[in-house]
Amino acid sequence: MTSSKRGRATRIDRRTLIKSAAAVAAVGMVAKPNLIRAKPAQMVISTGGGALDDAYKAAYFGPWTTKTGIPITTGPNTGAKLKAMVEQKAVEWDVSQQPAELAATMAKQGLLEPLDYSIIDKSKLIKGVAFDHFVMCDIAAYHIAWNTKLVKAGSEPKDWPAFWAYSGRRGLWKRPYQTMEVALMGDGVDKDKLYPLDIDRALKSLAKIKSNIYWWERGAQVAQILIDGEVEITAAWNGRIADPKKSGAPVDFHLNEALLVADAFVVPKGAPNKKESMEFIAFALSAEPQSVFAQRLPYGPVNGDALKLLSKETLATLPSAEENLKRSTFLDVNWWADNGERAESAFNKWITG
Amino acid sequence: MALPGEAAGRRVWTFQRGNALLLLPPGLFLIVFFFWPLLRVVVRSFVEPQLGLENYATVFGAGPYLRVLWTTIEVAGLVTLLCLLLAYPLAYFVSRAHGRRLKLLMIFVLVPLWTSVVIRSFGWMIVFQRQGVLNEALQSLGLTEAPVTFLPGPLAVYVGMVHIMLPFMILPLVASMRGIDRTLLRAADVLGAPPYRRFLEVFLPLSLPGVSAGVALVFMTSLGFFITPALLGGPRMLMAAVLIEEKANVQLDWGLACALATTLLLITTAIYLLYLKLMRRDASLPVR
Repeated sequence: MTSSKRGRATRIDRRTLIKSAAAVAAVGMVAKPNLIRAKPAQMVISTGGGALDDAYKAAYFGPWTTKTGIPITTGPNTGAKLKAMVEQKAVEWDVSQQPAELAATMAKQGLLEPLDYSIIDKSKLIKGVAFDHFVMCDIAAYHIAWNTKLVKAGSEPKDWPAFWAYSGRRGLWKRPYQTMEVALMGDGVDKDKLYPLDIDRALKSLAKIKSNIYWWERGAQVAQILIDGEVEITAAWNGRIADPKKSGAPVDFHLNEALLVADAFVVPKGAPNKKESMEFIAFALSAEPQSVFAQRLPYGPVNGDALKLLSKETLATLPSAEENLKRSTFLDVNWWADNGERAESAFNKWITG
Repeated sequence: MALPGEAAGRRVWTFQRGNALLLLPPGLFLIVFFFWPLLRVVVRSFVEPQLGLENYATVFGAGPYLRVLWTTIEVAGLVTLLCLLLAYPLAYFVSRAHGRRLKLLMIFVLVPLWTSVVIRSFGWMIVFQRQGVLNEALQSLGLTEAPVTFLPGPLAVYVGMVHIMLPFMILPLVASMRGIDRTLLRAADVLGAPPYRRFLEVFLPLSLPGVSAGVALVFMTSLGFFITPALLGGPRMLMAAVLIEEKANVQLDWGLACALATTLLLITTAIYLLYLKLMRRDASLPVR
């Protein structure tokens, strides 16, 4: 989804394990001599890798280890691996970060532990991010972006109908999710009345501009085609456009009618240290770590108190800041978990036809 | 007359029999890490989510799946043909080279292999885009006035894929051509065969094992291509690997993913068997 799937594969060999176990034991003895319950020697948390992994390390993993003495190992979060581990009852992940719509699919297939909201404090979370088996942890946006050299200031599309009416070359993601939503908004559907998606109407809307679409596949690709002027306007993720914009590339974006997509934390069924998994999630969703994360990546926090810790300039770029939340809408992850196959099949049939 | 050892029912140690033992480690490895998982993929396609042919009904039904499988085979086939046409003369040239020249040529063939496919695909994007190298060249030569839109499109995909697959065609061809006894060509010459007949009736048939190996390698690998057609190709160029990944990793619909993979495997095996049969017939043609 918003994150690169290529992560650094971190493997734990026996030596590292023993070393970290020894280190933790030492810390434990010094710091908390009266510890009764044995603490896990380490926790394994899988992520999307890349910049996302770096931000998680700075905001969540490092402070968590400082607080509890439990070191965290990370690895790539391949969805299929989670399913295989759960099926074979050999789960090595304590927590995993997944795209929220994939988390919803996992929940539907019974691959996840229910989250313990007596440990995770729901009261501070913004509306619509907490689910039985997963909780969103950062919020990104699929939004309108444009090349500032090719699109005159003021003539950029203000919303999706304007995006649809635009005459130049425009980019869209070559996948049904998110693209069908913006196609419906482009056809005049109200942002708050998207679901259940009208698949036929979405395809008809796409057909109207078919000859003028550059279908892109990857987040890195959409940034490149926009910077290079291969397209004049495009739908893109803010995490891919905010950085080039900051470093002076001729690109800009707004979050009006943005579709909010999220990463979520899940605990795979049969995870080795469930209690600590819940405690970790509770910690990561608390105000301070959430605000640190949002300062590193333009993905919005889900904790309302975290927003109060951030500057005005940072808030302006974050999809979950109050002003931005008002003019955007959440992707309905459960609709996709239930209807993904049907929608994708129709989309692929249409696009290859 | 039987040898004494065999008459007594004891097996005599020979190098041939000893060599067969060498097959054991790779054989076991393949059974454990390839054939067993493959078997599970096939089984899963029939039992998940429940026992039956439901997944195959989806694959062969009204959805996009058959079309995508066909596109995959079509693209892989054309890439293989283009690779063969380009590689054959080049391999001939390389196979006749010696010493430093040979080394240099081999470096040219091998260097592209050292760069990741993703990076090369992004590289081709830069070449083919509207303000890219190719369009600039076309315009400065006066061949086109406005930039031509190559991306996303089939030309970029074929160039990108052929570029990636070319070494896998060249290497077996060179190996097989270097093994051809050149005195046979001289003999044909002495017996009055003109150059085209020396090629068609002596050199070409003798190089067919290399063609066969190269075609198999390139075709099979191209069937699994993922990132290059996804990045450079238009909406129609949806390859089976992309769909299988989507089913396996995003929708976690392993039954359907396995059914797609099994169908692709069966089609590929059928094509390959047919091809082997044709090649064998060609190779055994009597030389007139």
